[in-house]
Order: sequence, then C-alpha cells, then structure tokens
Amino acid sequence: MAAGDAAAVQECIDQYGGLVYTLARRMCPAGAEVDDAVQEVFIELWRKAERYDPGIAEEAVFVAMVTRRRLIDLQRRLARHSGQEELPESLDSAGEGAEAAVELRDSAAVAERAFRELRPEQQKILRLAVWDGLSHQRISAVTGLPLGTVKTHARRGLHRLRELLQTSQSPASGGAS
Amino acid sequence: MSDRIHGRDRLVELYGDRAVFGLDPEQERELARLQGGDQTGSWNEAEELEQAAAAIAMLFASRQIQPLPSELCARLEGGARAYFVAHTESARPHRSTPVGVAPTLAPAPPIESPTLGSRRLESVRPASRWPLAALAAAASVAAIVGWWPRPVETPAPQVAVTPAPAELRSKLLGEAGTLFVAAQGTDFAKGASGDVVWQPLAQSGWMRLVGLPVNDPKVEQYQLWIFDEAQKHPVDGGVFNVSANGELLVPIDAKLRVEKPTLFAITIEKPGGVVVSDRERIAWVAKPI
Repeated sequence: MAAGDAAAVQECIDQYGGLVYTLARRMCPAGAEVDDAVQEVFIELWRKAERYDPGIAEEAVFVAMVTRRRLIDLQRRLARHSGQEELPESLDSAGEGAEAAVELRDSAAVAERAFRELRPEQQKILRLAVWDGLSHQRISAVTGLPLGTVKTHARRGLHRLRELLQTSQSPASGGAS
Repeated sequence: MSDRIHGRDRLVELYGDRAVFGLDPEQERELARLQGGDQTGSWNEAEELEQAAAAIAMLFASRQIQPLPSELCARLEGGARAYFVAHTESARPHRSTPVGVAPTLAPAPPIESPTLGSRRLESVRPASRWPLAALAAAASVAAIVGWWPRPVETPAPQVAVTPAPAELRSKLLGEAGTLFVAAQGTDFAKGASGDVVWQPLAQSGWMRLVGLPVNDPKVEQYQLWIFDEAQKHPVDGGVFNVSANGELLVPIDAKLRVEKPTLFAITIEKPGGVVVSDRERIAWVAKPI
C-alpha cells in the first residue's frame, strides 16, 4: 500500500504539475516566484488529499480549484489589483479547437461540453474573467456591455455551469469518460 | 421571511462574484455579515460555484499546458517527502511504540473545514486511475510515509539508518550543485557530529546526526536554523526530536526559500520550537567553507 501511495504522490506531480504550473504562470502576481507558488499549491494538495471526494468533482477541477485559491491568496498578499490588468491577446475564444493535454483530456472534455452549453455571451464573459483575469469593469469597457449586464451574464453562466457539471458528475450520467 | 430570502439570494450572488471576479473589501464585509445570519447551509453552494469557476480555468489551461521544468519537479518531490515525513508523527496511531530512526518534526497544521461540499467521503470508492483519489483512499498519512522513514517496531541496540532516507540523501548528493557540510557538536552535545546535505535548486536537504543526545519532547525539542546570506534572520528549518541513540537522518524543512546558506545550526528550544531563538543553547553547527 505504501508503495502505491508513493506512486500516487509521484503520479500527482506528473499528472497535474503541468496544470498547476500553467495556471501559476498565468495568475502569479508580479513579485511572486512561480516556482514558489507551485510548491505552495502542492503542499496544499497533500494537505487536502484525504478530503478529496471523486464523487463530487473531477480531480483536475479539484486541483484547479486549490490552485486558484492559493494564487488568489497570493495576489491579495501582494496587493496587485485593478489597473494593472493586461488585455488578452484576443477576445475571440483563444485556443478554440486546441487539443487538451493528454493527461487532462477526459476532465477537459467534460468541462468543455458543459461550457459549450452556455450562451455565447456567458462563455465570453466567464472566459475573460476567469482565464484572462479581467475585472467586471474592464470587461464592461472591453465588450461595451453595461456593468450590470456583465455581472448578470457571469452569475447566470456560472450557476448554469454548476448545474451542468453536477449532472455530468452524477452516477446516473456515468461520470466522466 | 422575505428579508431572509433576499439575504440568501444576495449571499449566493456574492459567492458567484467571488468565484469569478473576487470581492472588494466592502463586499467581503457584506459577505461576512450575511454568512453570520445564514442558516441555510449555503456555503455548499459557494464550494460548487468555486468548482465551476475552477473548471473553466482547467479547461483553458488544458489547451496550452506548459510542462513542469525538471528542477521544479525535483523540488516538488523533495517538498512532498519533507511534508509527509513531517506529518508522520502526528498521524501515527501508536505514539508509545518505541521509535527507531524516524524523526518527529513540527506538528501538522490545523485541519480545515471540508472543501468539497457537505457530502462525506466514505460512500465513494475512488477509481485508482486518479492519483489524488488514491491518496484520499489511504487510511492515513502514516500509510504514505512508508515511502520514507519507518519506525523500528522492536527495540534495537544499534539504530541503523533505514534505506529510504539514506537513498534519498545519496540521490541528493549526486545532484549538481548540492552542498555538503561537515558538522560538529558544541558543549551542549559533546562528541556529536554529522553533516548537512543541501540542494539549493530543490530547496531540500538532510541532516545526518551522530551522537546528538536523546531529548524529552515534553521538556525540549531540537530546532534547525539556516542562516542565509540574503536574509536578516535565520530561517526556521524545522523542529524535531532525537528519540534514539546512534545515527539518524532528518529532512530539512526550510520554512522560507534559502538563497545562500552560511551556517546550519541546531538549537535546543521549548516544545514546539520558537519563532525567534535566543541562541543560548546551540547544540550542533555546520558551517559551509
């Protein structure tokens, strides 16, 4: 058993190291070391591993959630806030059609299916906020949508996505494949 | 009644905004106030909304995954070893069992509230294809540390170094840039010796302690300090016990990044260690040349 657990630790690093590293490079605030942030995230994962429930969330989603939490904490600690945001390279759905990394393919496919069911404006705003890290004010300026509309799309989109992911996660759906 | 419903709606709204945009201080205060009066268990929704936002992040990240640099990979492995070794003692069920070489490091951080909703874990059997689920399935952290030092269950007159830490130390020694520093005891540990192996890239290392007196953890504990040229104060390298005579290997658990170590020193401190040492009882030192 011990050998299996040791292997699991190694597999965690192998399987999710790229995801954590990619998110850290994307979200790490100026003044913070990406490597240190990645190390912090993995220590957090070791801490929380025993409380991970595969019946509730895809493993990659759980890893991404822990990663985002730590990086958002880091951003707060370093007090990098609005006014320093950079625009994404493109407002189109960047990377659309790109293949997900092999180790994340199943989880990404589940998320992709759910995300694609959202209305286009919801997809766009959630992507700008979550992936590109823009504030709602900035999204309003970039898209020309009123501030309230931006928030409404984001909230409704997120709630809908939650429902869709729960459906895909329920036993009746057969779970991730 | 309608106020309560309105309050709950606003609470869930704030959970969503937090998951997507983050909250400003005023919204944080509003959230705290609403949470204080909430009897509906809506925190579960907060978790689920956070997961939904995380799924978006995972989806876009998966399209442009950047591989983990090998140096960082090595550092993560070293960090995992140090973490699980450090949590051996707190997870071990039989504290009175004679312990051979396994050192005891600082206690585990407090357990936080469940992070993935209110449903419990027992009902779900994780699939072995998911490594995190495999870890979750372990009976305890103690099972994992079988990977590293394992306590000797029967009293042994000679304490031998178990292969796992010895191999890890040897591996570290073979890596480029690894520092090796001889050590010696002071008046508080006459005759003690040993060495330090420190890998700057991995930020991990080992102390080999020879002849350091056994301590009573209820009275005092050993604490490692790493003096760093780049820092004003020494870095806490972890609290540990010497529970048997002879030689033992202790992983170094630096709490901060160490740029250029100028001295490794072990002090004797009160149980649990200290944040700042008065350095009155230095027992063992290793000074890089």
